Amino acid sequence: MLPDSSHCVVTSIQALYLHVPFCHTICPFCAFAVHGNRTALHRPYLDALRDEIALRGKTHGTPASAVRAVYIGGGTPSTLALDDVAHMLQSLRRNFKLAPDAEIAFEVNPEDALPEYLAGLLALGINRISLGLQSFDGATLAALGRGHDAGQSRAAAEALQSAGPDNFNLDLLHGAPGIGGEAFRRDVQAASDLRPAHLSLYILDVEPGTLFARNPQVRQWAATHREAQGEAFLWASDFLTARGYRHYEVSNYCLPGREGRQNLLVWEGANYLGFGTGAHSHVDGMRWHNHRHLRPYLRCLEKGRAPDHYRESLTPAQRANEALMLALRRDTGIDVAQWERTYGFLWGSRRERIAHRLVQEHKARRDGSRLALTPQGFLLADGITEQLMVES
Amino acid sequence: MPDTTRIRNFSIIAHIDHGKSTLADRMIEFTGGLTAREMGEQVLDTLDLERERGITIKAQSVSLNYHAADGLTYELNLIDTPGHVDFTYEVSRSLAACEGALLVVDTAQGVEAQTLANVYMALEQDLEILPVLNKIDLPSADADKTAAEIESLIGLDATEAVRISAKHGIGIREVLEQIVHKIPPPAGDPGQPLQALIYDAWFDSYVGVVMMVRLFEGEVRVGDRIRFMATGKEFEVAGLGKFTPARKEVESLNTGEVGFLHAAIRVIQDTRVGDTMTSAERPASKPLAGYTRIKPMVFSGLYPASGEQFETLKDALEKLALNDAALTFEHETSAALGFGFRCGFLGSLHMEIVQERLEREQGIDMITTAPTVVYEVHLNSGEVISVENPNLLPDTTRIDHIAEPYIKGHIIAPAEFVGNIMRIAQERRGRQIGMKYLDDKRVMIDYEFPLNEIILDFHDKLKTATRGYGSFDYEPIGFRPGDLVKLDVLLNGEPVDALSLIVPRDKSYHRGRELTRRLRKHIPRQLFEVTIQAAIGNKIIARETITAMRKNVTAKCYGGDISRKRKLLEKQKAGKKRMKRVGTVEIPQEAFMSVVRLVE
Repeated sequence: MLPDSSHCVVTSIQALYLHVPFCHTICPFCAFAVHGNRTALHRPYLDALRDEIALRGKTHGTPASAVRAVYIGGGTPSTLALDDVAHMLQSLRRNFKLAPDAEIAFEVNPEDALPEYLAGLLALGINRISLGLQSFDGATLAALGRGHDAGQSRAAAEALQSAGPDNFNLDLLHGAPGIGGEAFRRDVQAASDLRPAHLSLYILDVEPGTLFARNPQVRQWAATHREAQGEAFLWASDFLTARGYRHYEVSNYCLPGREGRQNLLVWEGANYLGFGTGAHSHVDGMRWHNHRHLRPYLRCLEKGRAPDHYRESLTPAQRANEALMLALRRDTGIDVAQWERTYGFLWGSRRERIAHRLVQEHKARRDGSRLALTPQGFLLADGITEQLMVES
Repeated sequence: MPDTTRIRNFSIIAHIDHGKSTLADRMIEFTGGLTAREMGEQVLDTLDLERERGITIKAQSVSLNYHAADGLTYELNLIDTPGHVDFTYEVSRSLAACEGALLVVDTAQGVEAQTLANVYMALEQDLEILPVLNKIDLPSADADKTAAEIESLIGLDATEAVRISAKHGIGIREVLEQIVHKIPPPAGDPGQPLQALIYDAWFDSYVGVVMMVRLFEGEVRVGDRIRFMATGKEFEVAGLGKFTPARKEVESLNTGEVGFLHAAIRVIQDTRVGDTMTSAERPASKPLAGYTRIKPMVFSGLYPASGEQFETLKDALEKLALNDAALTFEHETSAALGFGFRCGFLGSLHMEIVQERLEREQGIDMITTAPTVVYEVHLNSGEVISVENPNLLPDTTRIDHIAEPYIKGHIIAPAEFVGNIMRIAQERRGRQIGMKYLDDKRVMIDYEFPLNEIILDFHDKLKTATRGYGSFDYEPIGFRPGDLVKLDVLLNGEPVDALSLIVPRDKSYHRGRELTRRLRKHIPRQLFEVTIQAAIGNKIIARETITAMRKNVTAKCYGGDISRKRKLLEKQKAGKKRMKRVGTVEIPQEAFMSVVRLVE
């Protein structure tokens, strides 16, 4: 029997996620739970968030060990005033035990990255800032429909550097419709010149339900530029590796030892709780997520109920497939023998044949029982995972 | 004493679209079998598939009461026949239950090749044939010319042929009168031991096997014990009846009559179409001359897309084979496709129809391998074996020679298309053996073809080459030696048994190239590069490459939303269940069929 999270108190929660759904503008490529920024909604939302933290704190808040990572993301968390951020962190600390060296990360948009704001965040104990740059290039930013321009990108990066969090991340997005690979190469170069501890390079996916998905020209462009995107991806991997970065996950690079801790814990299958609209949680093989829309989320909490929208308890096959999928996205790969032991499935000759062929074609490396994809393999991670998955 | 003098059993022979079903409907309407409101379009075509394709596949029967001009009431039993060349066998078994046949010819089109074949069959069975000239309402109709054609081509007297328009109900009474006066009543003696021909059968989930029977001698009543003379099995008659066309139960069937019978028969193998049914208490001394069982001409492997459906497919084939005596199947195993069946068909249309019925009526996902003919392989040892699967061809060192089945084909078409016809016939190894002008505009050309060349799409090609005017029919003429080789397909160096073909040596290079090109088109990009090779023995004669997929990854693994991504991948995986995996290559169903459509 898997534990029901509403009654169980003995599991250890290692990571917490807080979702801030407000944005200055809604990006045409974004598929997250977001709302245009209406300041009037901040108060009720933050109150509800405080209630949810308290509610889940009662069931999960006396962990066997302390929380090691907190991530405040969105949406755009930097739409919040510093006071509000302070209150959020207080709620967290009241209800959960945070490890002294816990990584507390916060997402900031360039238009909000003013020196005072950044200094204020650091003063609150936030020790990792992730800047949603996407690009330094004006045309790229316009094509992505971002709320900031090239000048703001540059100013934000400089402000972040001088604010001096030792641990910061820059987000870059490649594949804006109509923009060639040169702009992306310049972006990667410029971003790595700033020597951030961490870089996220995303290739634009046209997600169902987004504005981009409804635009046939964008879809057409994405379909015809897959190959070019692949080339840019491999170029960036080579370039950043040469500059001392580790390509440790499909879309993530870091200086040695500076992986995003929240990400790692999620990918490793640790227990984590998510708060706020659409936030996801995982506790001992039980996954659930909150209502994506503001109204039902607020209503649940008004009535003192957990705002869970969907819950599933994973079957052994689903757990095995998740582990495989997540491990193959990382440079550390999957330990086949351990996977067999943990999930009780046989790797078998069919999978081994595929693995062998991948190694032959330099899409994977084999080190004992460990199979890890190379950057070329990362480009095919979905297809490879699908082939290696067990029938569910 | 039942009176057989007022019974008439007849069929309608016609080329596709010459109006057979329409005429049948008009006769049902005219005799009051159904009110106009009850009349759906073309009552006799009951299978969905028949209506969609506009052809009659399964023979159906209907009993009509007709009040004739002489003041008497006659029972007219119309036994429907299929019109397509593939279904010759069904035609012959329907004709065996009749004393006469209407030959319906479209006066705007004239006599067609398939009409000839069926008329000859009816003539061989000594049936009274009544020519009917249909579609006289059309502006392009030429009834005189058609009548002349019937006389010159078939040798039937067409001077009394009724001129009708089935569509507009013109001339229906005259047709019915001719049936009454020209077709002889059934012979036979009600006092004799029961002899009844089973000419159709199907499985009904409520009453078990239902058979259509034609009584030649004696009578049968509900409760009688009956025996099947071929299988020796005995049953008690649970129900008898007629289709008027509504199902009508009766207490007994008598000499000369046609009707259905069921006897709580659960095992479909216990009955055999063509068998003679007799009384268990008072059996007949010998069975009726059954009709010759036609051998299947075209073979293909049917494999369930997923292994779990193997038993379902087996049951479904058994049910279809019950009333489709020409369908054969036996278990076979393919290295590439797993467990399945090698099925025998009369022709490619028959094959397609069986496939569609399995998929549509039974919901089975299948992979069908390229159709092939039966080869006679003469070994050095003097032994001769039949090979209906290219993979069972013995090693070439053991083979003296291979013979393949040939057919004699008749093509009737407007003379202006003779050049086109000759061109496509030549591409298919056809040899012209004769040509005859039917009049100044139409011509009949006789050809000999290897059956293999015409099984798949010859008919379509002929239609294209003659702007739809050409018609084609054929009969088998035996086996002839040929210079034939086995063409294998290798994917990433591994042979795929289900893709092998037997081809003439002098065309093997061309076909090999064509085949690899087609496979490249039908196999989607995969994780790995796929090489496609065509080989004869150890010699590679053609090669194509499908380059590997370049990018297949989503950038973000969503802030904690692991389930969504996993589900997406699981869904993709499930979607590939209809593909077959050979080594690391996934082959979609279309690829298996594409290999035979070689001549564009």
